[in-house]
Amino acid sequence: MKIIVNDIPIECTEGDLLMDVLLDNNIKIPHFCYHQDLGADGNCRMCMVEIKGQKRPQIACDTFVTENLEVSTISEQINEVKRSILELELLNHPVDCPICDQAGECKLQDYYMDFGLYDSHLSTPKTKKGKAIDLGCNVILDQERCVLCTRCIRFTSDITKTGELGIIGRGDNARVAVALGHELDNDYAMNVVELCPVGALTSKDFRFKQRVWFLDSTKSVCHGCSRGCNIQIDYNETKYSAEKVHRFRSRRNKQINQSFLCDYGRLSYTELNEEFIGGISHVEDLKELLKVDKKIALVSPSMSLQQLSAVKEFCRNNNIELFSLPYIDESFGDDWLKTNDMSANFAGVKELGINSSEEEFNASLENLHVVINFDHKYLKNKELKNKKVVHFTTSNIETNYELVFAIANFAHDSGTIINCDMIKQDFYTTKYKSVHPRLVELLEELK
Amino acid sequence: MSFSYNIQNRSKIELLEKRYPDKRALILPLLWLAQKQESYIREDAMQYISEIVELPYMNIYSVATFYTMFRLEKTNKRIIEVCRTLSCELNGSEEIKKHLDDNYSEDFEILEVECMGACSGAPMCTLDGKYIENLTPQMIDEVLNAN
Repeated sequence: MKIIVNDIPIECTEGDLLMDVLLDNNIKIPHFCYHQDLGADGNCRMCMVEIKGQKRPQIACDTFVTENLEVSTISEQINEVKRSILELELLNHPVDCPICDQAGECKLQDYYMDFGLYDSHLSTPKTKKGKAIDLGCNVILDQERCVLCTRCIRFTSDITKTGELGIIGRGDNARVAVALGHELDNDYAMNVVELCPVGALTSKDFRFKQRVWFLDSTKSVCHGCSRGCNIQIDYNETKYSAEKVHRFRSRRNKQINQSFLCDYGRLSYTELNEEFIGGISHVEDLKELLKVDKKIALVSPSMSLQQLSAVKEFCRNNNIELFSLPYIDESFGDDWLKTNDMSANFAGVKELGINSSEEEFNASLENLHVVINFDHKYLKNKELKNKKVVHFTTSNIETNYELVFAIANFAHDSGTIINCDMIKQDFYTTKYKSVHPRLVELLEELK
Repeated sequence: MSFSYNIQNRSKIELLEKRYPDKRALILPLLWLAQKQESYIREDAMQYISEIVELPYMNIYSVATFYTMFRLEKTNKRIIEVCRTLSCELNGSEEIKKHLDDNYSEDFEILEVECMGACSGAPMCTLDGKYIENLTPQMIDEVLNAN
């Protein structure tokens, strides 16, 4: 069936939510409280549309499509309605955009430029509310910037079921808060920062570090555990800072993580800023070492399929016994996104038939003298007596090894990984180059 | 000592429980009873209520802060509630409030509240929960000095 939006016919299915149809077809529809993974609440009234045959404007997040529904989102009347609603939302807003971290990705700013552009009618002083309240879990709340869309509250009550957030007070004084003596306390708390359409909830970790319009963004996949949540890597290369990646944001994927990330994964971006600094060995030395007979290699199960197969081929050509062991942490997983297997691509290791038996690995390690570690965490900074260790690393290491090669981490490399549900996903490289070569290139050089 | 309802209130709660199809509806009467018992709503009372109705603490706290009739802080003063809704306002509640604030705010806790359903006697206020109607500043002086 089809509906008609702004005189253009659009294909959709009976019973679809009008809001979803508009969003999926990239039709601009302003909204605060609706979120595709939190559902409708209908409190913000920003998604008003005109529907032919209906007396009053309707909210798109509570309208289901029917055959030949005629919808208008851009008429002068509907813009006037939106302007009035927006004025109400902004009535007590402090308008502190120059010092607000959300500036540049703020829905209030966007909509004001689209529909607002009015002068304030307020003649009494604005209601003052709490500023920079630390809610715990890296979340900072500014109550004056809030539009009371309750996305954060619905996240804690419906998704994490921890219910720390709520609205207290009423009318002008209504504000989002945690209860006295309580804190925001769950493993997914930082999602509320991303859910917040305005600058009310900001991240302590990202606050005041970068203006969002200076950031570039690349599609990637979180490497924190085997779930493979879809992310955006936001980065900016500045002159005097070693820090290049500034945050992970979730990227919507209905099958895997919807629009959410765990705090552990969200904060794991810091690893990408810790590239290896120090002397790098010569390739010739490694070639020399490879002439020895008994060699063993351990490859990180977080490497991409491309890297793994290059390593596998390298090992076969040079007669090296290859192993890969998963990173298991029984205390990490939960019944939602986090999994006990903290490697990104262990399913890929299995698919390529790489030996992952810990017993066999330990037995071989006893007998062999040359150990090649492809960025596996178990051998990182571990002293191995009477053995020659070759270390390929994406991060800094403290121990002195025989040979050390630095390789680019997953922000500078593209590839494919398989998650715990056997879903194959690609991740892409950021625009700025790493100083270190990619593993696949390095192994090519060794041929 | 942690909060619990006294025997009379416990039997009231038992009767109330049967009246509502789901426990969420018990929040308001439970808050009322908690306030009546202790003169204000203690933090652990809200905790206790959240256990009874099986909802997060935050839900109870939200409700308690929404209604101005609930007091979350202890006061040792006697409480006067002055109505500020239409009928009383038209009949001069502003003057009454000012008179009270100017002369009695040290000894009494003076609160503005919404309509208490005694418009025929506007302007009105309550003292310790008892209605005093058709107020004038002189009358206030008389009543408060007599009590």
